[in-house]
Amino acid sequence: MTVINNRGVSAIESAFERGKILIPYLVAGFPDEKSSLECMKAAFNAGADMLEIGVPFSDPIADGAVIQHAQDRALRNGMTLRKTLRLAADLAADQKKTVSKPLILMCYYNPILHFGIERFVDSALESGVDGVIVPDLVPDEAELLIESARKKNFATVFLAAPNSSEKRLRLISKSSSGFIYALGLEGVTGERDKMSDKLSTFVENIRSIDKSENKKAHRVGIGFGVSKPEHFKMLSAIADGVIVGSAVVRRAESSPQAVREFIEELRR
Amino acid sequence: MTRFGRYGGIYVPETLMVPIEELTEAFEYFRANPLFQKELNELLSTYAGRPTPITFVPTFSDKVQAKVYLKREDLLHTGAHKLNNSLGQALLAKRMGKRRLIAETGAGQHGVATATAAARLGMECVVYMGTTDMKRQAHNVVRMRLLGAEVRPVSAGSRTLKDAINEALRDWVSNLASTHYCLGSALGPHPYPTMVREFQRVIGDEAKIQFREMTGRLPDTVVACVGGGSNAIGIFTAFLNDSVKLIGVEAGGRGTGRGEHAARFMFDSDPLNHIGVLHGTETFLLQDEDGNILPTYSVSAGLDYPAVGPEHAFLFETKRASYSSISDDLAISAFKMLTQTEGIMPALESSHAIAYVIREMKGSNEFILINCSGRGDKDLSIVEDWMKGHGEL
Ligand SMILES: Cc1ncc(COP(=O)(O)O)c(C=O)c1O
Repeated sequence: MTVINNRGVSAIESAFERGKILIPYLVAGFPDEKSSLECMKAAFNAGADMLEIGVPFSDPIADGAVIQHAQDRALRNGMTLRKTLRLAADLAADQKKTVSKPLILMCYYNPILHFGIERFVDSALESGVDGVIVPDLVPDEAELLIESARKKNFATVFLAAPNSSEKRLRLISKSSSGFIYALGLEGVTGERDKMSDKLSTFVENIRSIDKSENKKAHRVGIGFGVSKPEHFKMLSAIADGVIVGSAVVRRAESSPQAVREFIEELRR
Repeated sequence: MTRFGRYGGIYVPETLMVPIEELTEAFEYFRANPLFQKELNELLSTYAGRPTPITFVPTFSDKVQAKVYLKREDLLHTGAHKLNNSLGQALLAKRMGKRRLIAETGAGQHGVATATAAARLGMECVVYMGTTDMKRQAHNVVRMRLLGAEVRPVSAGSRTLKDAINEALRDWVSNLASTHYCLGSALGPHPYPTMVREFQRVIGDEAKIQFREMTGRLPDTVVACVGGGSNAIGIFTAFLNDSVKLIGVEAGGRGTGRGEHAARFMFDSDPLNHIGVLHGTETFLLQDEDGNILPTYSVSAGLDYPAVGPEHAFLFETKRASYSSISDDLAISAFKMLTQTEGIMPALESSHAIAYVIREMKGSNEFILINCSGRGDKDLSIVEDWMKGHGEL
């Protein structure tokens, strides 16, 4: 396989060129396979700049109640990593008709390990997926994934936590490609009423460490806890992109229309 | 060293990395600290009842035509080996300035042990337990509540130990400043597999000396049941460098099909298909073609878990220990046999190790040391139902 120039890390980086970007998260196969694809299209139509597609896993330890429920339901619907890649390919094909926006997978480590790491990177790229976020994989254990991904320009987005030490932030910065994912809280996914007022210092800290580690600075996306338009506004002033998960997933349970309206509301 | 060969590691959300570093440092510091050791040893002897004896079981030995000795962890305070680890971790947590302990539990023994340690040391305690396990080990739920712990029911997934660990990890990541996660078996991310082994190795260290005193020699074979693997690694460690056979016994449940057992080492295809990552560690586990974790089943809640501690994976690969499995029915027969022949009522978990000796070592005439990891009081209603179902009551 050859490197596809306009995909992978490059596609993600160019999405950030558009300014402050909005990255909704949806679970493949929730509420069912067809509706999840409709929700993803609706999200793009409503102004999402990039999409994070959640691959359901039996033991989602980093997720709160809403996403646990969605993943559980998706698994019951027969959704798997393989089928998620097919769904992504369908979405990417549909996208080609308009503007092509990047797709990243959010997938726990075991399904990827079991699929085979190199094979995963190749299949993901072939399906129009540009990168991956693995919530239970820290860079310390990710040598194989990073190596396979680098060869193909596939993005490995690592998470930075508010309590990560400077040493860890350096490692995260060195290991990430596409962007760095700043966690908006210490805890699991789920809507919160209020976001911490320390986040701006946290993101500044990531940026300054990142600058000293890399010639070309990473973009910083922020997520976990984001639930309303005020949050989006506040966080897009701090970071380059905002990821909205549970709040979008909850709406996916009602309809693609509800997803669209919510994203329009965030964007307004 | 975070691994045992290729097994182990630290597969956790980033937010847990700094707490895990802090825990590792604290553990390394205190394991070498004489004051800490003294305090722990005092608790183990004056509070928990160590050393526990080893007991020769003559009638049982006659029946199986071998010389069988039991290491009596059933006599430890609260009724299982789990307290060795809970006291160690609770004391460590206290030194780290934590005021709240959380734990998962399957059989309820680790929950009871942690609730007990918390009561003794004046700490708060929350225990996560699958609702299936709360029903079948109801007695232990009452014990935990009486001890002042809050028992939080977990109704996700298979509603057993695996799901309780998921919830405990979610709690930990949300309450880092106040909370220590007191994990109950030799699994999870580094340093847990090593730390739990170090707190449990007292079982084998004592047993080795006691066995020599009683028989003038070492056992030919040491047998223990393996859920996550803490009682087994606890008794194995002292014998690793001796020419003693080590045997771990998993839950064979009610069949060999998917979801019918918890025997991680029972497979006939490429071993690589059976290695994966769950709850922070790389090890042998039960998974489907898509890398999702399979449901498990065993009559014994403490063995009903899809992954095995990483050090056991290493002992399996290097063939230093071997692993076998025992069905529900054989475990219950062994439970009854030991109770009737010797007046010792073992936990259903431990009954798996006893059943292995009955099935595989009959007539061997060997010196055998079995870890009787706990007592069976918690399992009376399960055994009663089984006996009723078989027309024995
Ligand atoms: C009495 C007893 N033995 C064994 C086990 C299994 O755990 P492990 O394999 O960690 O010893 C349990 C777990 O609850 C238990 O209560």
